[in-house]
Amino acid sequence: MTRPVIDVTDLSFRYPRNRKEVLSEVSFSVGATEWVGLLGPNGGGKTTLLRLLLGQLAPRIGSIEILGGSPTKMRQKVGYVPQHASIDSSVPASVEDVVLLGRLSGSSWGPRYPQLDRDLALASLEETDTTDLADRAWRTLSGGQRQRVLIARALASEADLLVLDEPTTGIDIHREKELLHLLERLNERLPILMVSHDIALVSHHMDRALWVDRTVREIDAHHLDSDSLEHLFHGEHS
Amino acid sequence: MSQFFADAAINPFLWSGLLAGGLASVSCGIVGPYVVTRRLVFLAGALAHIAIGGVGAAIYLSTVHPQTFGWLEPIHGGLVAAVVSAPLLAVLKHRMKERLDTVVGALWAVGMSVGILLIKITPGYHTELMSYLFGNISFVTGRDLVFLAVLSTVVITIACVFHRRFLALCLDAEQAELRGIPVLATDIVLFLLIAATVIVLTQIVGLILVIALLSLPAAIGARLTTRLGPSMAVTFVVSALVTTLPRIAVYGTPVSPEAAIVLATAGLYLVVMLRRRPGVF
Repeated sequence: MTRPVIDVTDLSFRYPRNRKEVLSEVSFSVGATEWVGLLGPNGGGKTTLLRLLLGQLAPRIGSIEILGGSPTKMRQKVGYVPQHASIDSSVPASVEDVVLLGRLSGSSWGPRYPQLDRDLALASLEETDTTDLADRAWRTLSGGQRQRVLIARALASEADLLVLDEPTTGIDIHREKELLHLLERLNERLPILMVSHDIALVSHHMDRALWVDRTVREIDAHHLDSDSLEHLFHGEHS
Repeated sequence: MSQFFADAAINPFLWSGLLAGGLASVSCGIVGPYVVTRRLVFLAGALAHIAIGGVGAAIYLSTVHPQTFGWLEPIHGGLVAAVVSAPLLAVLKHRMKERLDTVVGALWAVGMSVGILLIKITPGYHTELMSYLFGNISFVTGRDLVFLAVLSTVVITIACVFHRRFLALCLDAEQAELRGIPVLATDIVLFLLIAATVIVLTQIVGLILVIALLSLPAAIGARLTTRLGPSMAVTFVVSALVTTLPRIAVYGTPVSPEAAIVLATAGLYLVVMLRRRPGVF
């Protein structure tokens, strides 16, 4: 059996000056070819879990291994796609500028990215079918186009794992289908961990689903419906 | 306008004023777009006003203790105050997400008040504060031009070395952090660059004009372009035009050149804002 790309063991976390634990005794793993969904109520700890996996927070108890190393050490190999890009629309930036952020590293000095970085950025745009947007201003893109460009940015970092936070929020059904088709294609070579509230999406596309509500437990992704979700929200085991 | 060129033949200060405007435009063209896109106009304004405290302290010390601090000039005090407060403001920006404007506003007011208080209790009559507030672009000396040339060289060098990091912070600081960029340290470098720019430019064009020159041409550049590099070029050209043409236009009239520059820049910004809204023109 291949080594898991995410391995979380007995993780507990609470924010400083807060007695209540946001996550308690969390253990789960994600395999090298899987597409795993994270579901859960608002305030259940999904965002905190993502921040722990990305190395933005440190666990109080327990351990996290990402791609065989610590989250802070390996985060350059994790392609993260946020729910809403924090890219300011008033900033004069092209799509290529945004994707090139995926090539940024601690050794990035000087005014221009090397040609190799530019080639990788263009290859990522090609993989997400957004090559024609390369010279467009970021502020002129639609929500669906932005999500594809952010995925291109994640791919430009030569990621070995994709982590997405509700990427389908705010985009129309047609664009959502295109996006999911793209993710299916990418999952042929990359494991994906994706936060979603859409049970149809989770049950149709993902291999497994994890319910995050202070702790994490596996749920049957392929038989998710509104009734089972209702049970989960009320803390009953499905 | 013809009177300006007729007088320029015998008055070298008129040419040095124009050259100062051109050199100031280099710094504004590079630093301005970072200030506007990283949304630091308020913090840049705070830096300039906190520096008044340093200006006041330098005037007080050099007057009251001439044997020890006789060498101290107002710009030295302003520079120390700005350079010390730049990292502090960068840390506050990172740590105080919600109350930042209140704290920065307080520092702004306290810095200015300390400067005014120290000048008030300093024996004698001092015009340095007025010069700091309104500048004196009509009497730029050769030493000022050297100062500006050095600043331009420093700004260009630092921007060349840090540009990709500054751009990343302007675009998406969270992503920059995830990619291994030390965001706070990079912001401190940017704030120090802004502090140096504000202080040196304020000596020549005045506090009010420096804030206008750091924000409005860059806002015009951001409106008219889709990348930060071209935005810097547009900002430089706009800065050079607005520090030159209004000055020549009001020469020989009672209108102060500094006020003409600010009003012309604000007018141009308004035109660009309205022009970019479909159906306005």
